[in-house]
Amino acid sequence: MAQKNIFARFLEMDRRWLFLALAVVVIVALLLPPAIGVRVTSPVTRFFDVIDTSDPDKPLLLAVDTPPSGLPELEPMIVGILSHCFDRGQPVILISLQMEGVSIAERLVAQVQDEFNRRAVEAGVERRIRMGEDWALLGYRAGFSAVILGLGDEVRKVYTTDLYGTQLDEIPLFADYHNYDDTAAVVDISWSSTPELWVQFAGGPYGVPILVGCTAVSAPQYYAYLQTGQMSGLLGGLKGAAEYEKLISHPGLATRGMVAQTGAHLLVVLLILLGNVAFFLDRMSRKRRK
Amino acid sequence: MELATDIWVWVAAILTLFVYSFLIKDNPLYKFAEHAMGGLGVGYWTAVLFYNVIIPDFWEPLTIAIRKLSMTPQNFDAFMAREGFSQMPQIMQDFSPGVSILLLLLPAIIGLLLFTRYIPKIAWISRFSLAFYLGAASGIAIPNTFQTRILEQLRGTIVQDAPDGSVVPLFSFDAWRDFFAAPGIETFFDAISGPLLILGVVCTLSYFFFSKEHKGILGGMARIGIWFLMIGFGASFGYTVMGRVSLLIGRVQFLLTDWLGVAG
Repeated sequence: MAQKNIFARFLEMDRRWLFLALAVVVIVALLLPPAIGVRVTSPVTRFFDVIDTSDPDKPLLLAVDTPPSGLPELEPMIVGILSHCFDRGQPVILISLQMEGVSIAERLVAQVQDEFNRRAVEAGVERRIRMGEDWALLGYRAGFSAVILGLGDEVRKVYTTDLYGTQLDEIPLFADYHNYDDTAAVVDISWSSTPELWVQFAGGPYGVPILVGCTAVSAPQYYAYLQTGQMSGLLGGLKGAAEYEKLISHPGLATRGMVAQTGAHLLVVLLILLGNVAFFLDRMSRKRRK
Repeated sequence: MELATDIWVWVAAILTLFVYSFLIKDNPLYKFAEHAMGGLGVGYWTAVLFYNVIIPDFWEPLTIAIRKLSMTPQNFDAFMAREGFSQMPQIMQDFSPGVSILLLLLPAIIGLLLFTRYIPKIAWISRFSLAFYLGAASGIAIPNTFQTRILEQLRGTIVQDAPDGSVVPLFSFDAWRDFFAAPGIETFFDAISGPLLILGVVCTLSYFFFSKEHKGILGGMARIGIWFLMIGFGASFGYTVMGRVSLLIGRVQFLLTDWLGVAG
């Protein structure tokens, strides 16, 4: 039996070595300080500008439409958007068309509120973030398109109470809030195709700006909507979240993950190059032997 | 290094390691984690749907509507106060109690009929429910989908909205004039992006035109279309790699920060 050359052996390498290499790269990168600079792209700048130039008295409608499996990419976006709004004194109404999104929204809004209030205490600032004034969590409602259309008519017809059973009329944030006319923008943080529903049933018929934060896998399909203006801004994956963190000067999980992301990408590119080189050299070597 | 003291962080960390053990080879630990996740997911969904949909959208309004019909006004007010209902359900604000009951029971019955699929002899009844559901969903979706996914996208291939609010053609002579006046990367991409988009859409559509053999001009356009498709697939694949790596980063961040306390 002919002995295999080094290129053939490389091509037949046990894939578990690649998994190990990727794990080592990611672990080492996460232990390093976040030293990678992030260049902010146009879709993220547009996303930021829509929120930053909107009327701070008008609430932002934030739909958390993701299960836990989407969190590594989407959690930094939710934290970033909440921080951005709270910093500029803009109220946020949180809803979810995906039932697991409720507990995620509840945890993250409490986390950002605690962080904001802790910093306020340290800085000696009187302003505090409060439920009912700065944010409200309405929870989950079944029926995707019906919910989105209903919110364009009157929020009280879709949600009679918030997640904790308080009537909307008793919550100060809803004193002058009824539908999309009173909304600064709709932000959908999603791991599925819900952004298209928001475009179809809210952006199209009611003209409210639609901002989307999605997983990297979904991002390419939304560029068409961005180009036509049907979506006003787009955060795609961890990179999009890191760019947004840079714009709001609030480095977080996404910025820390960028070193690991870059390291993993370099490894993948290196392996693709080595695989191709090994493939052609192996073929040449076999031809020569013949 | 500061190990987590929360038992649920340990449970999550151990289950994470169980799942990743599949990369070495399939094993009972991975299977345990997989089945536990499936079971917990179904249980969670059932509970949330029951308490967020069945109770508030069906059971409570139905109970209130039946009581409204069967009780005296004084007894009904006492019932509402005792049960903690401060206002009538939305459906009863719009309809009388009798009509509300009908409007609540009809969709419930249509939904229950779906379960006839489990009884082979009367499984055909479930088709009525499916037909109703598909008809209603299509009626809601088709006009909006046509508007947003076809008409607006078609418009986006012909014109674009300028920053000053005006509508300009995608193939803009002004953009080319700007480029020749001040040649640079930014002005070049402003000028080329519109024609490139038109070319990409037309050539890609040509590739999917099968009524004529792909020869001559059509063949050339279809070949260019393949290039655009390949570039699109490449971009999607790149994003997919980024997404999958992000998931790994998220889990490793959890293990290093929340569980082991060595990073962050």
